[in-house]
Formats: sequence, structure tokens, C-alpha cells
Amino acid sequence: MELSFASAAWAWGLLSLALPILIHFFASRDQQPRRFAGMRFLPEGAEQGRARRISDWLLLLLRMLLLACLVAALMAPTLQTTRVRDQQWLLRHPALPALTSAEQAALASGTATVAYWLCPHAVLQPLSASCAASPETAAENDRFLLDLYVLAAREPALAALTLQVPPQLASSLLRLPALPFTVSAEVQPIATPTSPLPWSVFGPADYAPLFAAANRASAGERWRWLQTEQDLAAASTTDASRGAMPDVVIGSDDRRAAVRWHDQPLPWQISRYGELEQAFHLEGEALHLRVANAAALHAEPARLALLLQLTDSWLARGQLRHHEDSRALLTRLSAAVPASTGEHEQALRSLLLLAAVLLLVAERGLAHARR
Amino acid sequence: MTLITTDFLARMRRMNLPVRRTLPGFSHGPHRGQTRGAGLEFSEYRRYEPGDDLRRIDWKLAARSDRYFVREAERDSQVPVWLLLDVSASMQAEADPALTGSRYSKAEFGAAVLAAIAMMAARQGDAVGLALLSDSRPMLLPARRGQRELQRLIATLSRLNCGGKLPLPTEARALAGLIRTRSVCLMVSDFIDDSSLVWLRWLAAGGHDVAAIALDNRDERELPFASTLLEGFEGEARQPYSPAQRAAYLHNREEQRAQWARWCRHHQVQWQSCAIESSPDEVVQSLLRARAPGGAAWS
Repeated sequence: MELSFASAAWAWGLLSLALPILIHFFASRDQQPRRFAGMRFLPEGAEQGRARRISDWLLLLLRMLLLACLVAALMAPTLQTTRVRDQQWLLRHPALPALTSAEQAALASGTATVAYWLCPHAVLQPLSASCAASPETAAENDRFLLDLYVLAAREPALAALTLQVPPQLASSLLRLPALPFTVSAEVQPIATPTSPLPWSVFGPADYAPLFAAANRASAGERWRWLQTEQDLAAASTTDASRGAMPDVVIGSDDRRAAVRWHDQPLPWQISRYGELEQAFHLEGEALHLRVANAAALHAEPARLALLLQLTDSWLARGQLRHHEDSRALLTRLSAAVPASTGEHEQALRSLLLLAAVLLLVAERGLAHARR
Repeated sequence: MTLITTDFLARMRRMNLPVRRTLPGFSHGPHRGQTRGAGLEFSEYRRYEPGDDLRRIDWKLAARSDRYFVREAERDSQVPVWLLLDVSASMQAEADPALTGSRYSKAEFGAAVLAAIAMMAARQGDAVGLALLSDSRPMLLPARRGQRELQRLIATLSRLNCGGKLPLPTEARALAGLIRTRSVCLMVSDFIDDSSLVWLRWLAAGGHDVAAIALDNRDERELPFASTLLEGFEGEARQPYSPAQRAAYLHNREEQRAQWARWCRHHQVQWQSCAIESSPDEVVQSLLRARAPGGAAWS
């Protein structure tokens, strides 16, 4: 049990406790006199009454308690019930290959570690009920960080967390928020080297076989070919953050995209990567890659691979930048995540206010009786 | 809260108010052995009630009618009864509600006692006068007989207004002019001020049959306060009080009471000290018991 105060500046309000003391100290002056007929029999005792003394200890105590209760309620106390953090969890990214049953058994029995899949939208499901490990749902790094916050709020017994993540998420582990449990990360190779989301590509139809071949090479849907505007609209509804904007646009300058391939009949003589790097230029947020026509690309698979790699890394960098922008959001969120002691705080405060009201009633009653 | 209820007055009506001194105007009346004296004028027959003197039963009438009747006489000379009630501000001091269950002041209590006396006196055929003594709101009802006068007097006693101080007898000229004949004078006050003793002295010097009914409340008798500030009723300076002063206070008070009681005994003034936390019935009864022949007031 640990008592802490949210707004400790109100502790200065405790100075107001001096008020009733002062009032009681000087009260004998303007005290309501008691009417009494036998004044002439009173002995001369002028000196006795002059000395200022605290007049009514019980009333003084009540009044000071009342003020103390009010000040304490203003200080917003929180009573934290510190539970022993002793649980160890393993969170495994769904993009990673599923654990075999033998591994599961070892995890569950051996070190009392509970393994969970990390699923989007902060839904933690036990290992047995594994959710679909689609790369689309697992890729949302921000959501993953949010999951950690939710985890911190929801699991007060969690002591250590081991994260098993694909290399794509390793960058987000560098900026982990401050958490009440220790987090260790293991980067494990992913079976299918896919980006979390397939990059959407929009362009002339004769480029489509190129990306189909690239997908085949990476053993997963790395590139999604958008043939029509309807495809584009459908792709934009699945991921609202990108808007109705394809990642890669080939040949059309009037469309916004992160990467633009300009279909130019430029006779490239590129043998090294550095030469290719000089061949593109940045324009705002977009990367402009000069591309020979599709037929030429077909002829040079190495150059095609280089182009795809450049596009991929640029898009990944753009995604990272997107993460950087959301850092501010994350810090705000970390402040907004409700503390687990919130109910205690409310209960304590209302208890104090109730006590203050009761004390007020008692004080008024006593003061009336003293009259 | 007035203590003068019809119930109370009906109870008090039965009693007799004895006169202790042989006063000049007094020759007949309800008192023993003097019922059938000279100058007695027959007024009416009244049904005998238990408690009436057996000697007053008209035996001839009893023989005729087989019922007991008492001869009521109307006297042509009576002893006026003067009721003097101190209505100075200090008479506002109230009885302790914890002991009585209701709030009433000394003045109201004294008014009840005096109303009872007035009932008795009127039943005996005596004229009753009332003087409310206060320098700010004095009131004077001359001694008269009759039911209507009695009602006026009791109505006055039921609606009292206290205030001011007890004046000296020399300041109450109108009263001095009215109390000419020697009379029974009952003075109700708290008898704390010296002027109240001056009144007793003045009345006793006039040759009246004087009774002083001194009222006090629990506050005065016991001083049951914790440390507090005390304020008099009549503009005395405020004075802080601490329980250490209690013994000295009680001593002073006891001394003054004893002194005044001694003075009263010496001057044949009846001194009756009453706590207003008791009932007016008790006070009237003890007053009458003391006045009865052989009572304490016949010293």
C-alpha cells in the first residue's frame, strides 16, 4: 500500500489549518456572551479572563480535521496496491512462424512463462487460440506500441516481457516507451520476407508481369498490382492511413505517390548501386526513379531487382518516418492511458469529501450546542 | 410560554390566602372564627365542598334541605392584596429547559404565582392590585374587587414585557399614592439588586403584611458553566468567567441571601426563596404553608 498525491501543490493548503487555531485563540474576545443575572456576586477576576486561551479543544479539533480532509481531497490522493510483479510473458509476432507444440509445451511448463500472440487492436489471445497470422494485421507498429501500454495498464503482475519480432519491427523496439516491466526483444527471421503490407503499384499494364515475377521471387505478396481505379479505391479502404494513394506509380505524373517510376527511354548504363543512386532525385516526399521501358527491364533482371530494392527501402523509410510522426501521439497516449489506481483515487477522494461533510455537520451541531 | 393556564388557576382557586398580621381593615372574612362577626352582610349560599370549614355550614339549612350549604359573606371592609412583580430586565432569566422541559422566564413564573394569589384573594373577596415594577415599562392596576378586574389582572400577568431596571420606591409615586391602607403585599423579584431590598424596607415601614418571593434559576444557584463570557441583563460590564470563580461566587451569593433573609425575619417580612425550576403549585403551597398559623413565617 502506497499513498501518493497527484496534485501535491495543494499541500500548501495545509497552512489553512492555522486558521481555526487563530480563530480559537482570539475567540474569547468576540465570543457570544452568556446572559446571567447574578453578576454582582461574581468575584473580581479581571486578570483571569484576559489571558487568551484556546477556547474549545473539541471544536478546534473538528474544524482542523474538516480543513485537513478538504485539503487532502484536493490533493487527489491515490492509494496504490503494489502487487508483486512475477509473471513473465513471451509475445510472439504472428508474422513469425508458429511455434511447434513441443516448443509451446516447453514454454508453458518450464519457466512458467506464458506465451501469447501479439495481435492487433490490443487483443491478446492465448497461444492455443492463435489468431490469423496475416502480415496485414500484424504490421501496425504503432498499434503494437499501444498494445504495450494497454498491457502495462491491464496486467499489474507482469514483470518481464520477451518480444519475438520480425526484423521489420526491430526499429520500433528502439523507441519503446517507459514501461513498468522489463522488455527484451529477440529479432527472429521471418519466413517470408514480406513487408507488413504489400506495396500497392499503379501503372501501365505491361509492367504487371514484372511485379508478379517479383512476388514470386519473394515468396509472398510483396507488391500488389492495381489494374483499375476500383482496385485503387479498394486498396485505400483497407488501409485508411495511406489514403487513396498508391505507393508506387509508374509513368503518370499527375498522381500522388511515394515512389514514381518515370518511364523514360533513357539508355542507362548502370553497373553499380551508387550510379543508380545518383540517377534518382527527390522531389518533396516522392522518389523519382527513372526507369527504362518494361521490355528493357525484362531484359535486365539485375537492374529490375535493384529498382525494386530501392523502391522497397524507400517505402520502408517512409513508413518509418510515419512512425516518427506518431511518436508525439504516443507520448500523449502514454499520458492518457488510465492508471490502474483510478478507481481507488475516486473512492479515496469521495471518502474524504464524505468525511468532510460529516465533520461539517458535527462541527455545526457542536457549535450550536456550545452557544 | 405562559404558565398561567386555566387548569392551574382552577387548582389555585381552592386555596385560602391567610393574613398574618392583624390589619386595621381586616375584621371578617373567610378566616376561622371571624366569619360571623358584626357588620357581616349575608351574600349567598354556596354548596359545601370538602375542605370548607365545618363551622361555616349552615346547619339550619342542612336540616331543612338535607344538603350542606356554606354561608358566603360579603364584607364591606377588606384587606387589599397588592401584588408587586419585578419586571426588570433581569427577570428575563430563564429556567433551565433540561430540568423543566419548557422555557419560561422568572417573570413568567412569578406572574403565575401572583395569578394564583390573585385568584385566592378574589375568591375571598379581597381587592387585588397589581404593580409591575420597572423604570422603563411600569404598569399599575389599582386594587379593586370583582371578576372583571381579576380577569384584567390575570390578562396583564399573562402578557409581560420585561425591561429596564427595578426603580426605587421613591420613584414610584403613583404606587405610593395607591397603597394607603395597610394591605397584604407580595413582592416577586430576584432580589439581587439593592433596590429590591429598599422596596421591602419601604413596604415593611408602611406596616403592610409583606412577603418577599425571591426567584432564582439553576444558573444562579449552581453556576454550571465552563469558562465563558458572562453578560448581565441590565447593562453590567461583561466579565469573563472561569470555574475557579465558582466557589467565591457561591459564597458571595449565600452570604447575601442569608443576610437578606435575616433582615426579613427581623422585620417580620416573609422571605420565600424559590427555584423557578419547581412548579408554581409547589411555590404557592409552600408560601401558604408558611403563612398558615404556626407556619414558618410566624416567627
